[in-house]
Amino acid sequence: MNYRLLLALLSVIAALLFIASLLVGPANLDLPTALAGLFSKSNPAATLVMCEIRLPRAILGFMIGATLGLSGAVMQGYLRNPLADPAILGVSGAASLGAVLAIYTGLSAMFPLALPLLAISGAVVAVLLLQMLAGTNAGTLTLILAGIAITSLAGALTSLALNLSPNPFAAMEMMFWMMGSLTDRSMQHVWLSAPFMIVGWAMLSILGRALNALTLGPQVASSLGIRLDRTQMLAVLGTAASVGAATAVAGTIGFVGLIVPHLLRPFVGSEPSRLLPASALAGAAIVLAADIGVRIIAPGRDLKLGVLTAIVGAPFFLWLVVKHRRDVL
Amino acid sequence: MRPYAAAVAGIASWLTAALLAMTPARANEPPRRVVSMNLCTDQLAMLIAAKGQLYSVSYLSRDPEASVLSDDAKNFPANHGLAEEIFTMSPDLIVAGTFTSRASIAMLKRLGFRVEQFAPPNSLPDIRTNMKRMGELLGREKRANDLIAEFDHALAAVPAALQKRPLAALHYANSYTSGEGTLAADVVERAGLDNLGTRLGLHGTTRLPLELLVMEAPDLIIGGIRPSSSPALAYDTFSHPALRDTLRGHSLTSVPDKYLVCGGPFTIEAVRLLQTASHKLGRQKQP
Amino acid sequence: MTALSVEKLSAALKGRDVLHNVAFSVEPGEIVGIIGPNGAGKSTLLRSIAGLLPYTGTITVSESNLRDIGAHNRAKLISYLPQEREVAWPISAVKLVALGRTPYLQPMSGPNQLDDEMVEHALAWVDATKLRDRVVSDLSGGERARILIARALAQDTPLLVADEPTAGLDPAHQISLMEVFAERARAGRTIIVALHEIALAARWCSRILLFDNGRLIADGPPKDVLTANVFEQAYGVRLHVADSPDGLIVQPVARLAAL
Repeated sequence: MNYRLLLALLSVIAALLFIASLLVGPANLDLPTALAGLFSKSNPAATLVMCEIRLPRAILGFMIGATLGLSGAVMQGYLRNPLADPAILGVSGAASLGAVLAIYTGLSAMFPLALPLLAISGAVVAVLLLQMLAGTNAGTLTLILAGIAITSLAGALTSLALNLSPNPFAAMEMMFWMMGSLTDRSMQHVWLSAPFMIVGWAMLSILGRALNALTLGPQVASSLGIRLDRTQMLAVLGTAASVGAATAVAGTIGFVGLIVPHLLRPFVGSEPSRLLPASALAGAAIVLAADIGVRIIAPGRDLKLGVLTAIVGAPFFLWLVVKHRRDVL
Repeated sequence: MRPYAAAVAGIASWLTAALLAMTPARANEPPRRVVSMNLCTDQLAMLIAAKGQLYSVSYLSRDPEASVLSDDAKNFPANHGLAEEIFTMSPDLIVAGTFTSRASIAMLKRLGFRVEQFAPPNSLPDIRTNMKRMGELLGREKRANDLIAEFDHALAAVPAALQKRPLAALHYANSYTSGEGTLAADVVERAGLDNLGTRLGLHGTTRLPLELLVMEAPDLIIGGIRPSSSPALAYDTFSHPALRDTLRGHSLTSVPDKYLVCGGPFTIEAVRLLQTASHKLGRQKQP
Repeated sequence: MTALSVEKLSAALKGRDVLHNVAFSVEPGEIVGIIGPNGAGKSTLLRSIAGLLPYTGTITVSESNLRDIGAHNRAKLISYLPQEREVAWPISAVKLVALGRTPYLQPMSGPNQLDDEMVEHALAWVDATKLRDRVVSDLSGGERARILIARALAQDTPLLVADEPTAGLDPAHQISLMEVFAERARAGRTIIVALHEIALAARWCSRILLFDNGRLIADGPPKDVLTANVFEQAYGVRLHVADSPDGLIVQPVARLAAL
């Protein structure tokens, strides 16, 4: 398929899902009321619902989805491994730990930026640990094992922090951090996370050429003029900033970074640089679709977003392992 | 034959005596050593029991945010609802809630203790029922009847509702509300307000999405108080811009949890608080 | 202008010294064969020249010190073809060859007409034009090797450093590759190629450098190096060397007793 056509198609799908996300919710607003809420002041209650509840939710859905798709594509390209994904490799889990430490110690109540900053720090530690454990030329098994180790450790520490909290709700909130949710997120969450996500995107999207060259391995890439140290820094910091900020406000949403680049790879001729913008758009579309799904399947209840992405993603992951059994293991 | 029959009779009488010894005293004699395992039974027991009759209350009663009688509770040794702990206190009556840990209650019953469980009140009449029963169990019917009379008197003294009842929404952590069939809903209605949860057809304590709350534009939002020291995501909606805008510059009306969690004479205080807020709202609405 | 000059070059891998005090220089238009037993340090030498390893000593490429050239400019002077034939993703042959033009791409744009032409030339040189749209992972070992070579050729640098490029190729393609190298050399390029096929080296290289245990032990025209005593000591084989109308013929015939 023509590349420009693919990008145009994905943009349209993402835009339509963004609009659909604005129109779904427990308040059951019909189209005229919804539009009035968005664009005029005639119905204050509808305006509140549309602008303060649904709009931030849709914006975050789009941005977080784009972040997960983009960072998944970069991680797969950089690690030269089709099973790389921020959640599988422990980046999201470590970011959750940072966020939990910020919230449950009361730090983020005093200093709101503490939330995204601590989450991003967690993500940075995870990626650096990953490099240390697995190296940049690691086989799949080593990589996945390193990811499991980091996720387990981060999850255990998160659970500990939550259980030590004097607040009775804290222990139950583990579900939010492990499975992710966009329910009742406000524009404050958007302002808190968007700048970091955008900075992360800027760092990741210039890696196209380097990722293409890395197809032939780090030695050849270096001989083609690619600065590997700069590439590593941009990949690490870009992933940590964007995924860290996304996790800080929505918890861990898994499998998007794994599935999206996989589905799109055949359509872009496996060219890593082309995969980047396509994965961002498709990631946005998938998270928006999942967020619409949780509101349709269980209206009024707080079904976690990660549940839907896991129901689709986990079998997909298993299928991948089976299909590439010989190469993967 | 005769030695055999004598042996059987001996064993039978020994068994009977042992069983009788294990059976706790029935209601002929009022219990002398009562242990309460549940916050709500603690409060009722502390109000109704005679001096020296109540031996221990649960540790939750010492928490001033959860318990009205927190100061009184400090006079009693605290228990944590653990069977082993209570076993060593040798009570002759244990009072607990219907939701108290099933494992602990089962263990205590197996050990031969008398356990009486109280369901949480779902309405103001339920409070009367529980007080009356506590009085019967403790042999303090007169005290209970006095308290019930006070309760009714105080309730009647609450001023009448406004002509047009304002709409109130209960909003707790995690966007929960109390619908029909709950004590909180009954208190709200008795204070002269319409409860949003009831109006929307919700039963029990259940989730009310923020969107619906905002669309209904209630006149009054009643929230639980957020403990200052321990943060959690559960309270996020309290600072959500949509909620703040719905309040239109008023603050969240709060009724301290301790008045709504358990039912007792102190529940009237909750009714009074809401009634005052309702009237204030009515005066503000008038030009 | 000397194409490549190496002085007092030493390099270590994982704490072990792999190259000791290597020195030689190469003029433009030469095809230099690097030979030596396994573990002699051939790959390490090539990686050092390509600037991919830390080293002590001086390497000068086209009159510039390798340490002073940035990665970007180096990529326009030296192209490197490793022994490992790693291709991470199932991309098409033409896209893979086009990666050789990476150093010439302008910041915000794709390949221009010159880039496309070079890619087509490179494909033609390795006789892979009809493979251009095939996915590289579907190709046979030899076909894939030729595509990878084409990528290095497309880079069109004054110096080409290749580590065992002929391994896995059938005789016809081995010879045709050496013919391509010869043609590039005639056009003024310099080729440094590590080989195990001593026969190819003998026939096609203008000069041979023999390494053993990290030291350069012989440097000269093929006939001189291959008949020298040091060759038998280093390789442990006896060679049959003969002249023929097609050039020097070399065949290892027997293993020497003590290795």
